[in-house]
Amino acid sequence: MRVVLAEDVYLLREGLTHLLRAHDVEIVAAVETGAELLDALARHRPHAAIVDVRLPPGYTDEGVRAAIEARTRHPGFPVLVLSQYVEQIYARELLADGAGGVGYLLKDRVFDTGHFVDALRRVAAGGTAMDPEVIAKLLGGTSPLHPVASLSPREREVLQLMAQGRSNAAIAGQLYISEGTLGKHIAAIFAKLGLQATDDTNRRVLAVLAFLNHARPDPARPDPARPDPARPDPAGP
Amino acid sequence: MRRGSRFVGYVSAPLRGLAPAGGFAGYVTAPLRGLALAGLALLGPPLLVVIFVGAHAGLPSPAFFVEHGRRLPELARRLAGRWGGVEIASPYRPAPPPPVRDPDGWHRDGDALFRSAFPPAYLARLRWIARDPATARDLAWLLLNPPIGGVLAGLAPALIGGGLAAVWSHRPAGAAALLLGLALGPRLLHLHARWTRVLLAPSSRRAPGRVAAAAGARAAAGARLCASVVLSGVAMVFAVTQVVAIGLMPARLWPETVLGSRRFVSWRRARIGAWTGVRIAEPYRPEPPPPDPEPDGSYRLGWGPVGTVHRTRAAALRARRFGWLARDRASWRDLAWLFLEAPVAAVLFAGPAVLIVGGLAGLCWLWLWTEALGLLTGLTWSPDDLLHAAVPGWPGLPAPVAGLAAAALGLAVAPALLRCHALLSRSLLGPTRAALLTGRVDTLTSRVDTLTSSRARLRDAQAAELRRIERDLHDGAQARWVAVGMTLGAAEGLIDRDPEAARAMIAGAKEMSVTALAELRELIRGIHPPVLADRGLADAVRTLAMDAPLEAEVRVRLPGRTAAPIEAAVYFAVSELLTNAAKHAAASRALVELRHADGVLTVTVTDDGRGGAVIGRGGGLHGIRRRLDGFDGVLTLSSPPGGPTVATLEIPCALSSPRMSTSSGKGSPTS
Repeated sequence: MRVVLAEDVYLLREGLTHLLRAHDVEIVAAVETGAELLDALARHRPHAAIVDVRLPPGYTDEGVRAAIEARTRHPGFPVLVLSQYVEQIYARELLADGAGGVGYLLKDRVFDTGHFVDALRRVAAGGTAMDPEVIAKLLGGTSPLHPVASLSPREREVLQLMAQGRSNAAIAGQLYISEGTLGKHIAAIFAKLGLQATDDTNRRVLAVLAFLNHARPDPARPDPARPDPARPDPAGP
Repeated sequence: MRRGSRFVGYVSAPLRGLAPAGGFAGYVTAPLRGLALAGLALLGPPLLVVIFVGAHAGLPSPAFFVEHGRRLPELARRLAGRWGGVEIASPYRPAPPPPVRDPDGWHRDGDALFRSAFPPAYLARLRWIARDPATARDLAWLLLNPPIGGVLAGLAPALIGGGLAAVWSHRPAGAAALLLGLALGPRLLHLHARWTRVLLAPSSRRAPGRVAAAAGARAAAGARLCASVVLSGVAMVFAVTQVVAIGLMPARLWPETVLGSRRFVSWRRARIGAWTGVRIAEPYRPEPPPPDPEPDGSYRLGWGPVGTVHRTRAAALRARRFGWLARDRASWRDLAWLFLEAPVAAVLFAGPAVLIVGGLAGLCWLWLWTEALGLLTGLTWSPDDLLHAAVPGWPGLPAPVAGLAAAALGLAVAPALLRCHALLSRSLLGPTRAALLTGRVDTLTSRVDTLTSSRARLRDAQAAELRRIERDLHDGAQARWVAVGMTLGAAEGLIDRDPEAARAMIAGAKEMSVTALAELRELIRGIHPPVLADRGLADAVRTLAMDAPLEAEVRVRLPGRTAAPIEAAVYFAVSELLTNAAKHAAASRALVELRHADGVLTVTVTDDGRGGAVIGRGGGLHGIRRRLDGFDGVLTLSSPPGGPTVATLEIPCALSSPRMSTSSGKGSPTS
């Protein structure tokens, strides 16, 4: 597999290069900025890109913006974003186009080399790899009225692992249950969330993420914070 | 009044023929109607008194009495149309609509906000009544109608009554009066209706003429001059009270009386300014900040070359206030003015006041009443009395002429005298040149004091924050890295003898490094949240809304970014408020609004929780308030039991770079 790496800290750049090379991943280019990343993608046509969120010159969210730009130019191009911290807002932005091939992980996950490389391969194949912390935040930011609140603790666990992008086999293995039992859980979750069940793992994960991503207040319920619908939103839609 | 109705009035009046509108029966009913109207006129002054007393009692509302007092003028309007042939439209402005509850739960009245709908409704009705010119015209009509309308209406029945009474003794004169009363009845009714129209019809919007304006100004000056005489007596009461307080309990009572006097004097300053255009600035020195205690809990206050140690805070505050008031020269200049007000008023105002009040009330008004009563009852009726009522010492002059002349003289000099009084007052009530300078210095000094103490608080807070970070690093990440190093060292020693144990140790070391990283992340988030650094306040607050366990909507109108410390303070404040909303108020929804206008960043967090939040010492809200203190920001909280809770942060600050940020709801990815 051929990968472009965008990481500005020399130590981490070298460490990642060594680590991935040991797992038959070829780093065709290691760059420092978002602009260089876009150039490298055009030149090398890699299978995927690994991008740090903070890149020169501003050291803010250049990596995320470069990743989104890359996926705008090449829809569905697999990008794995790494960061020292994870934020819902970036996860939502990366997932907004609804296409697969997105990963967003804490840099700590690199320590578990096997899982990390697995996540990279999954993303390159069009799947997703969301950090457990991101999923926890997506679930934690829902009100007690949200449908997610109606899930049983076990179903919640399954939903978390599924939203991270794990395969059925991996989930069943981690929870010590059979794949048949897991199937029942998944069917129950989809029924409670009102989602269309599908056999394709990838599409199922995307459906779950899209559901969490677009969790909005039910328009049928009155909104106490805005009893006057005639009052226009001062900042527009 | 419209021309058309006047024309109708003329047509229907019994001017052009012998027969009035109602045929010959009209001549019979007209005196009876006149009698009723005269009775109605007599109701006016008592009603005026009821309205005046009721409106000043305030309950249930001044508007209530005036509104119900309108029934009499309304009746007069109807009767003018029905009996006098003069249609009069109702002049009143439409009543204000009931107050509307704003989305945030407040009722707004101007710049004031009320939880209950009652005060704004009360105020709106009060304004509606007070600002309607028809109100003043109604009240004037109640006062003036007896001598004018009452005489017009009562003349015909009086002639008829007098005629009937005299017809046996003086047959020709009695019969003539009787016939005259009958013949004039309808005509007088019409005249009465036209008089009614003068005050009770909707006022024309024409500006008053030069003469009317000058007369109005003179009349106002006369009324103010008379009021000043009364107020000089009030001033004397305040002056005497102060002196008595100094004699009795200087430290405890005197400051109270000074502050009470100040309110009166301030009000008089404002009145003098409004009446004469002579503006008098407030000369008072600002109240000093509360004293700081010594380490042993006592308070040391110096005053001149000596000082006192006060054991309790209350005593220190009392002494400080006494010193503040006693050392302010304005206190003593006020006292001098209060004493001098009565003699000055006696010299300047007494003469004109006597002329005006005596002329109008003593001579004209009294004369009108005695004559009108005499006319109606016919008891002391005589042509001599009517034309030549006696003026003491000037028997040949008719009383009303003398009264009007005296009042006109008093009114003519009133504006000049008021102005003279205003200038005299300014020399005592205004700030001296030295006080102006001192005041400016004092303002700056107190500002410096405020800045010094807020900077000290900020410095302390920062030092505490640094200590916390140092401790967290020392006990957390640093300790874990040490453990990682030791574990790796042990594993290195074991790797040949027991590879399995070494592998387990390395796995443990890896685990520890992950934990250390997680702790560092938390620490960094508490120092300066990465998303705030990356994206600015708007997106950082959106992230908070996404992470909060409730449905939070964010509306932002920030055309730029503000200073990083302010952004951080707002971020942590919103974080705290959202946490409170979800955790303590059990809210399921919240609305966060950020906007910047007129140099002030305003942040409002509204939730639908159970309310009852208070800013307790040491609590999270108190922490927010302390943090905002450093930026001259304020936190205000409205949280009635049952909710909703509305927390508002206001921070004066400037925005940089003209970047428009727009709002977004929870769950919608921004771009």
